[in-house]
Amino acid sequence: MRRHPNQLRGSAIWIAVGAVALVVVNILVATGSLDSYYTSVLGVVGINIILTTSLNLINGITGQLSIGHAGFMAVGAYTAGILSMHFQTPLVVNILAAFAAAAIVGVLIGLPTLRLRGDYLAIATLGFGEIIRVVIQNLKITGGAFGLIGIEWIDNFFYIEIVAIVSVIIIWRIVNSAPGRALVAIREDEIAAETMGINTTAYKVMAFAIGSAFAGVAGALFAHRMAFISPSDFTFLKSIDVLVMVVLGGLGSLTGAIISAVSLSLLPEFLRVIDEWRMVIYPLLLVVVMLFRPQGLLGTKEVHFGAISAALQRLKSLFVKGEEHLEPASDLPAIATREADGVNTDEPILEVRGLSIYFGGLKAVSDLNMTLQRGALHGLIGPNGAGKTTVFNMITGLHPPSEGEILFEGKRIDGKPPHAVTAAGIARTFQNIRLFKDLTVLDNVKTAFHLSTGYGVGSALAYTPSYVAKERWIDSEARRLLEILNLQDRSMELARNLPYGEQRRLEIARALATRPSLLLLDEPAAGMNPQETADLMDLIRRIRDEFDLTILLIEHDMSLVMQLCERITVLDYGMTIFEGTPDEVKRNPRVIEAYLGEEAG
Amino acid sequence: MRRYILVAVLVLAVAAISLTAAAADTIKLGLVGPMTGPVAAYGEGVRDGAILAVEQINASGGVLGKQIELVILDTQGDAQQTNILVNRLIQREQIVGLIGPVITTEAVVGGPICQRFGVPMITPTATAVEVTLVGDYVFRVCYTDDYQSIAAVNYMHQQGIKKAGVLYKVGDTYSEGLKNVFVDAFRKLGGEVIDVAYNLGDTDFSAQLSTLKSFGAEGVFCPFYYDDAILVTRQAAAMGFAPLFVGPDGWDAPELLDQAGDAALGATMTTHYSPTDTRPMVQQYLKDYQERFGRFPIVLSALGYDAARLMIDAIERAGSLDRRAIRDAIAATEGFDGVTGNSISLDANGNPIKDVTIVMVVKKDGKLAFEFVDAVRP
Repeated sequence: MRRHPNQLRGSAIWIAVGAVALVVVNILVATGSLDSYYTSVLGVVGINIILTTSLNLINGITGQLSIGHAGFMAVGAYTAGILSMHFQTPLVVNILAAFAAAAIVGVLIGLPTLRLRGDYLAIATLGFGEIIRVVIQNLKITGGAFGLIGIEWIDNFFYIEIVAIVSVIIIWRIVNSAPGRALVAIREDEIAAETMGINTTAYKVMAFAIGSAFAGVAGALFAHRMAFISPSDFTFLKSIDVLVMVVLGGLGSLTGAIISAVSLSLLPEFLRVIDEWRMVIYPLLLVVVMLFRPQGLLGTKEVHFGAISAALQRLKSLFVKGEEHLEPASDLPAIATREADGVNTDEPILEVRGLSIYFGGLKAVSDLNMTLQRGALHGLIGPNGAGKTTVFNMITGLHPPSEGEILFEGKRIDGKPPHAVTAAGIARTFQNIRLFKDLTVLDNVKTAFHLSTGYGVGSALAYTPSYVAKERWIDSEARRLLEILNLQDRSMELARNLPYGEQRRLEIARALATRPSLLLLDEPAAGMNPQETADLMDLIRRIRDEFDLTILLIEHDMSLVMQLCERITVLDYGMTIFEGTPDEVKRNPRVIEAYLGEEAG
Repeated sequence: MRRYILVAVLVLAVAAISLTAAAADTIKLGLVGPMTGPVAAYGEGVRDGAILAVEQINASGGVLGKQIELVILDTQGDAQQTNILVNRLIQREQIVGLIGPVITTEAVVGGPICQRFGVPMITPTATAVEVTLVGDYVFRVCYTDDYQSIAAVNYMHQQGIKKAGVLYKVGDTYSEGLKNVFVDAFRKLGGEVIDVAYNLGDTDFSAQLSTLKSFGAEGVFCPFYYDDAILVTRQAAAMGFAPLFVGPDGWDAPELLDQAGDAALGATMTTHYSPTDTRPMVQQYLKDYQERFGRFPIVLSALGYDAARLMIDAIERAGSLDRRAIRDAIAATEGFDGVTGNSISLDANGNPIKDVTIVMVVKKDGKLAFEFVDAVRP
């Protein structure tokens, strides 16, 4: 059920299915087998497909709970309506204008609200959705509470189907490209996504704007199909209808959203025979589905036509030679450290000066000074609560320091957001493992190649050769990293199903995929047995040499620290109590008193 | 997996039943409106009025020797549903005419579809002017909003009022529309008129009322809803200002009687129909309705009743089930007596020319009530 490197097949199949369905339906309409009753129902199906897939991009793929979709639909509908009435512009122009207008409103609303999460975001989007409607209700140009009448009537389902298919393909392409992986990463773990170099705010706003834009497209189609729109068409209930379809289909599954949009649009028509009972049956069916499939019909999975696509592929290979074995373009460098252009390799890679942080009155870390030479393997130890992880959080930008400065390769990085720190060349793992748990091992690593993607949404949509080559490169590099970390046999497993030790290794693989020059490891050996710990030591040495890394690690396993690290900083209550070589640390009475205790001697 | 098969089988079974529903040799009329949802009361009221009309005609032998079948579908008050259902009635049920839709937002969607397929449509209750402008197959039996202003002017004129005022809500389409028509029509009859505005949310009308009082308005037209009417009548009574208040159908609410109390005494309003109308036809309708449904009809039921009767009357006059002929017959309606007005005819835009009922707030057995006073032809 998982995505395979050959996404081309999946899309091709979908395009084929869409085209065949369209041809069949059109033949039926042309021959009079489908009258205007059927086409009016199909029109609703098409519009609902656009609404559900676009809302799923926000709610399911990106994991941002928005319940104001009807507001953006209204923006599109009124944009198209006003253009049609006052300027007699054609449908295509109106759809594009609706797309743009809803996208702009999406950005304006997304920027402030996407700082919120979960319930708060839901309430904020609900509020904005209602504000849009109330504004429309009180403007002269939108016809007030009565609405707009006299929009060009284009009750032709053909247009609706075309636009629906194009919309779905675009959303599908976005989801299956690197930007799509970034969105899924945000859903899975926003902090981890940031440290993979993903500008989560920008990507959330992008997803929100694109989702809103397509709601606007649906609104434009709606306006032309009804020839009349009024604010009462875009109430909160409309948003809930769409949300129900998305949840029923499975948050995060586009095919689920489509299946759900089709069936929930058709179901009321079938249920019409049982008259008022349908008002009971319809919600009852929803409740039953939610009881037995709380994750929705398809969960986050997609329906794939594996067998059909393989057959088609074989058929294609008879005519098209070689494409199947396209090699990564040679001009793309194999994974290594970034070229240290103009960086003086003699100067320290990381310099921390007078670093302090306060949480309320509590001084969690005070006046930390630390210098890491390029290629160093440096340990950071101390009792629990000494502030070690806080130091990592300050270096990686998760917690801006209260005082002091952090210089990386000679440049200030304190105060920069985490994704910018990652882009500068610092990667990390987390003490409490922050993998993208519901993604495969391979997708976890591929997501971390975000910074070396080098293509935008545009080339993903256009399926340019450079996009294809880049995706193949990312795939092969990700697999290579998994081999180095000895995870190659696990690539298709969900990250959550890995044993503890392998999860830690996967975090390291993911960190390496961001191509760092400084790697921060937060208790990499925690939960490992002695054999695994020994292997880990070898691994850490190996990756330092192979990837030309500088490594700073936090660890409680003293044998690992003493054998591995060249220098060690010891923290206690946020203060540096000692820094020196392992031997010096072992002998230092303050360290023994505070942390190592008797046995370490 | 078995669960889905079960669900699929159920869905298919339901679909199969719907397809095999056999068509009898009847004349099919469609009716769409909100039977559920926030405005369900309107839809149900219209539906019951139409059912009563159809049953009465069927009991007396039907029309053209055939029984009439009324196919009723619920729009939930939703425009998109209306689009589907009107198409369904035309394509699947092959209706010869449509009664409905009920509310304006449905009617502006249903109208163009009926026009496209040449199916005559009579909306009982959609009052917005735009509804019937889509073409010659679309009619209504209720008067449009502005028509009430003309009725109010004529009523005031009849009462000998030469100086009138209008109190209206700024920025409100309904209020401003009615005000403009009233002012023009009143001036045309040679009267003196002043208009005074208030804003949405205002609760103190003393300044506006003082202006009207010092102008010497004998009558005040009040195109707004009953909530403001309560405040206006009370505040006017408190300052000893007692002109003839004339309100539109928006005043028709029991709250006005309950909350304005004696201050509303003598106030009048234009409406579609009054159960206190003494015409025998109205009293018979009331009796029949209560026998059939066991409850008192709402105002809109009378319009549903008249719309269905007019449609069937037109089929009779057309003498065929040809939709074009039925349309022509509806357009040619002349002197049709309905419970919502005598001698109804239709103008070129499909709007009725009919009497407007005037009711007045009176005290009956110590309780306030709306009482029929007149039927004015604008």
